[in-house]
Amino acid sequence: MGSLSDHAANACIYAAYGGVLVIGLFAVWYGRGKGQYLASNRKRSAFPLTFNFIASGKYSSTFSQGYRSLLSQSGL
Amino acid sequence: MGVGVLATYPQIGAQSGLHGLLVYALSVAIPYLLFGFLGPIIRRKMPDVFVLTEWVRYRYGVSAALLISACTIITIFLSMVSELASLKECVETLTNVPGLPVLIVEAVVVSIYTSLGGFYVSFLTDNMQAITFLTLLVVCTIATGCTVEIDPKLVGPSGLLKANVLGWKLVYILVVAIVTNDVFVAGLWMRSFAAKTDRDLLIATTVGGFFLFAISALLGIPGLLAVWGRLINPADSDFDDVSQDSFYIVMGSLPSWVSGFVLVFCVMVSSSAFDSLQSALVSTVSNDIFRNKLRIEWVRVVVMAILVPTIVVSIKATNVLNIYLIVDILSSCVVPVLFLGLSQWFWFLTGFDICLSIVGGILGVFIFGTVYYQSAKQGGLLLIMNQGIYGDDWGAFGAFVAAPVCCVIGCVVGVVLRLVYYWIKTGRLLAVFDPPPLGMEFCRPPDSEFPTLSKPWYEYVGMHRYGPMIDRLLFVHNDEEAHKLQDGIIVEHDPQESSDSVESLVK
Repeated sequence: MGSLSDHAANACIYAAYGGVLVIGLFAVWYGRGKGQYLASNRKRSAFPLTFNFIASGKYSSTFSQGYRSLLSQSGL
Repeated sequence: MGVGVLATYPQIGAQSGLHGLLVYALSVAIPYLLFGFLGPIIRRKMPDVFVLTEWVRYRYGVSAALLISACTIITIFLSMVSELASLKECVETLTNVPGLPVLIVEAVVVSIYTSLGGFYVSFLTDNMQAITFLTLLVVCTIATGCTVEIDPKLVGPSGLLKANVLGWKLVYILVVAIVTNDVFVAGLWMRSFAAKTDRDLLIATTVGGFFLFAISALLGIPGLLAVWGRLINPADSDFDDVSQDSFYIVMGSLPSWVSGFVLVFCVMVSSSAFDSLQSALVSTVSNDIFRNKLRIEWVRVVVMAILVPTIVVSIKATNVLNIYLIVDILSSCVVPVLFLGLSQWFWFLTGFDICLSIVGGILGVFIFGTVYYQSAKQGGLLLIMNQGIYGDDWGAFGAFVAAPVCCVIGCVVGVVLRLVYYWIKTGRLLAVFDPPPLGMEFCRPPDSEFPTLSKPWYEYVGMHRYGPMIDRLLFVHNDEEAHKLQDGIIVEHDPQESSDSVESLVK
């Protein structure tokens, strides 16, 4: 996929981090004084919580590494 | 769900076909039901708990809690390492930009806002992450559907649509490994306890689990398409490595703006995944190690300090990820018994039984390995999952059967040992099974904002010597008494009656 030039790639990556920082700091400002630094027990409704559970989906690269080496051995 | 999924799922699709892909997707999604089921039970018992280890500490005592804390911290740390390692691979595959500076920038940017905002920020950015991911998926699916051409003649001979024995074995291994290991993912517990009501949690876990299954399965499809579209060839010697890049290879024929689009989205998804892990680590460390007494400024310093080893390890020692499997086997040695403590029928279980169940599970795996491979050395190696979990023998499968079964046996041995101890001590055979004197399980009234108890309950009621025996049972008749107990006020009749009853038990 390396059709992006180095300059464009750098611009994309670091501009995106700039955006992430702005969003994060906005969230910090938005949540100031709400006292939910360690946890926010009993405060979240189903909709955002669903998004959170989707986002927290787990994968483990070890599983895939094992798959890679050993599935090929078993002739798949 | 970080950028690693863009490599993992397509690779599984390309290598093990639809069967392996569906098994993997299911085993990632099914554990969510566990949180929907156990979350409400735990917080009915302890409304102010926000990490599982806190409940373990109250229910089983410090030793069991430290063990679970160690597993939790290792799991989160390895997930952070894994996320950074995946990002490095993603950036270096997509572009010619060196990976290290990107990792450092990500770690610094994420730490700035996570250390300032904590879990609250992580929760908000997770919403952004899910939306970002779904958008990425829609765009890439449309792009793939419009551009990739597959050769129908390759579909049958590729064997990717056929079932296989390994796929069936993995139905069990992956479900046990991931279900038990998810218990150590503090972020999932924090989200479970953040639910406003139990109904919200149930909806979030089932709908979230379903979407996760669908997304995971969809993400694997580029792997199949890459093989059928002759973009990668299973006969090649480097197929193992190349299949990892199936997603990027399939996207390769698209215009360059799509590359930029994918890159930007990967950065956002990875940052958000990383901040979730970081906030989970902070909450766990603050609660388990510092008992939430450390000033918030120092907690922020801890957040920053964790970054250095994370970056170094993700660059230098990717093999460290094999520790995942050790933690997996350890978790399947303890988790099956751990949650029995939630049931009032198993009120007699203590931290001692939990420790013995782990010993039992580990011994069980070792003995199974020794017998199966006819070698004690191989038995020992099975404990550290030396051959991974995808071997074509039945070693790994047996280990994941032996671990939970022997963990239960270990727990029974623990109860029997205590039974003998109290039999000798009291002269009554079943003294250890006597119901608690005033018969109510420890329970704090719901919808309360109590601070965490700073010492074990039996110190409040002056009954130290009975603490280890009856563990988490508290003699609370109603919410009012529980309130008083929280304030350190002992309800007059309670300690005496309880003391007397326990006294008679012991005698």
